[in-house]
This record gives sequence, C-alpha cells and structure tokens, in this order.
Amino acid sequence: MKLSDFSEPALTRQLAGEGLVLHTGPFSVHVRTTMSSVVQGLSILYRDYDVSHMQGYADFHVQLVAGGGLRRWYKPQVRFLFDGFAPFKPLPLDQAFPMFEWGLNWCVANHMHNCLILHAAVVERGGYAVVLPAPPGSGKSTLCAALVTRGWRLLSDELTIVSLDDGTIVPLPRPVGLKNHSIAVMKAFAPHCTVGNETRDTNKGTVAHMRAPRQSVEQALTPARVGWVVFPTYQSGAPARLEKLGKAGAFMRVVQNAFNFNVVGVKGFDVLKGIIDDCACYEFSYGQLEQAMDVFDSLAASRVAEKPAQKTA
Amino acid sequence: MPTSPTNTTLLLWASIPDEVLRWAEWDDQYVVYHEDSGDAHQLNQVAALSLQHLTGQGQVSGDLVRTVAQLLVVDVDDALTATVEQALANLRRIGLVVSIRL
Repeated sequence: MKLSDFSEPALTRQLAGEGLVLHTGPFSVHVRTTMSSVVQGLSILYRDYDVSHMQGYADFHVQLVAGGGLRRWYKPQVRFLFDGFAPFKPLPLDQAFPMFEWGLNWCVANHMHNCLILHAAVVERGGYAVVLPAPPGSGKSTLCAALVTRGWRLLSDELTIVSLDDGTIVPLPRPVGLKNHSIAVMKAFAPHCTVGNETRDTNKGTVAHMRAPRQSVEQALTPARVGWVVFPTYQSGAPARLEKLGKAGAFMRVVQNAFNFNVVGVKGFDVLKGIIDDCACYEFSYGQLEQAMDVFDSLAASRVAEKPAQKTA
Repeated sequence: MPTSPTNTTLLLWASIPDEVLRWAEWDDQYVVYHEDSGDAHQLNQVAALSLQHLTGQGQVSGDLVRTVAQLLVVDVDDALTATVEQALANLRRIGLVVSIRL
C-alpha cells in the first residue's frame, strides 16, 4: 500500500488515530499526528512510499503533538515525541513538518549503530555512489537535489548509511532539505520538481523539502558501492573545480563527518578503510549547478569506461 | 614531570600495545586507529615509523632518531631529530606513546 492510496481526509483520520507505519529505506517509522501541516507534508512528499498499518514492529515510534499550557492559545507550539519522550524543545507550530524531518534524522543518527552513519548526501549512477560529506551551508543538499533531477539516484541527502557488513551504502531516500536561496535556485533549475511548503524563520532560515524521485524511492532496498568521495563547497561565482585529495586526509575528513565512528568501533575503521582504498577522493568547489552537473557526468562516465559495477544486491 | 620536547633525550619512549592499533597507509600518509579510544589519527611518515618501531620496545629518542634515519635512508641531523621529537610529543598528546624519565 502506498501513502498516495489515502485521500487527505483519510490520511488525516488514520494519522490522528492508530497512526501509519511509513517505510523509508531500511527503516519503518510509526507516525501519529493531528497536525494538518504534517499530514499535508506527508501527502505531498511521501506519496510514493510504502505504508502499512501498525501491526507489531516499527523501528521508531514518533508523534507530532501540540504543546500544552497557555501557549496553546498564544504562540502555539509543536512537540516531537520519540517513544513518548520529547528529545527536543518545542518549536513554533508552523515548523511542524520540518520538525518531523529533523526528528527523523535524529532517530536514525542516534539509534542505528549497526551501521556507520555519515553526515553526507549520497547519489548513485551506473552502480557507483558518490558520497558528499560536508557541514551545513556547504551546498551539499542543493548539489544533491540538482543531481537527482538529472538522472542520479537519490540514496540520501543528509545521512549516508554505510553497511558494516560489506561497506555498501544502504539507501535512505527521503525528501531533500533545501534552505533559503537554494529553494528558488532549485525551482529555477528543475521547474518540474515538487517542493513542499516553505517554512520561514526556523533556526536554519527558510526551509522547504523537495520530493525524492519516485524511481529512487522504488529502489530503496538496492544498495550501492562507493565510487567516489567528494567534499563539496559552494562558492558564489566560482568555476566548477575538482581536485584530487590524498586518501589519508580524505579518510579523516569522512571521520569528522561521521555521527558514530567512535561507537561502531574497529568495524567502522575497517569498512571505511576499504571504501577509501577502492574509491577516488576529491575536493569540489562550484558556483553554478549546470557546470557541476557536467563534472559529475564526467565522473560517472569515467567509471563506465573502467568496468561495469558488480552487482551488490 | 618532563613535558618539553627539548628534554626527550632523557626519556624512554614506549608505545601502547600494538594489539589495540589498526593501520591504514596511502602514499606515505598513515591513519592509525586506537581501538580503546575509538579515535583515528592521521600521521606523517616520521610519526608512523616512530610509533611502529616503539611497539613492543622502549627506546630513548636518540636511538629512535637513528632508527628512523635508517628506515628513511637519510642522515641523522638536527632537522630529523627535531621532527622525531615533535612527532613523539604529538603521539604522547594523543595517548599513543608514553615517556618515562630515566
């Protein structure tokens, strides 16, 4: 059953009642809410995802609920509950959907310690993934959003999940988070893409999410092997420039962008060493998305020229 | 307790057990992973050779400088001595070697 099988009124009733289990890549999330903006955000941005009724197990149980007290009437707020516990302070009510997305990221980053989790976007073409580790504000999500409108498969725009068994990337294709200027940039770059409602005055500025391509959602159970690690930086007006990086330095920069490297132990080191051994590492700066697309197309073409990717599923 | 690199000729240096260290090497740049702390550290060639040589045996810095010179096939000079002593100080700071006053 897809989420799009529900009309918005039916979805509203379901989420307000027993809730719905949303399947995003390897995770299942039991969602309950009465917040209309969350219902709307889900119906726009998650329509292609498998959902099921709550029968037994879900990885995460989350609720978006109204804040209590006098604030219900004066500057109402929303709270994110994880297993009935509120890990964050409440936010203004109009930030309910972004809070759902941020809360879900928190769930994955803080609880999935059977994988190495990187703060990185990751896209794939031809069986090889490009991992894009970067701190906030580096243009990572904008680059990722642009790539997935040009035929690259979205594996994740925020959390790269590395299997500790074989070093492949486990897809977690969810809506791509856009901020401030990048919202208009993406709407101009890919007018056909679907961007949800904008939320202003968050602690990240104005935010909106772009729907993940349906094909990426449908391939959410197909892992990919890493072909490249690329550290992106947006520089206004700069020409696209790809520079090879030393592998030891690249290894350390990936570690700096890992959420749980210290937690997963020696397996994380061994897996990351294997990835860095097998892939090319680059620094990438860009000022225009079109030029960036050309660079990434060339990267993909170079792998095709080398050899076909081995089947990893 | 001595801490200055300039005093290291008076010190016996030893590494933590090599069973808790994992190594990666690319183009003479090294990463060492310390299983007990869960931390990874990037090391240059001098630091890596020093640490690897100190596993399982203590050595004073003068002897270690000579060993590193042999491994790198270079002469012992003031620059190499300073580089080794700086590497030892850094390795001690990140908890991969210890020093004992003789």
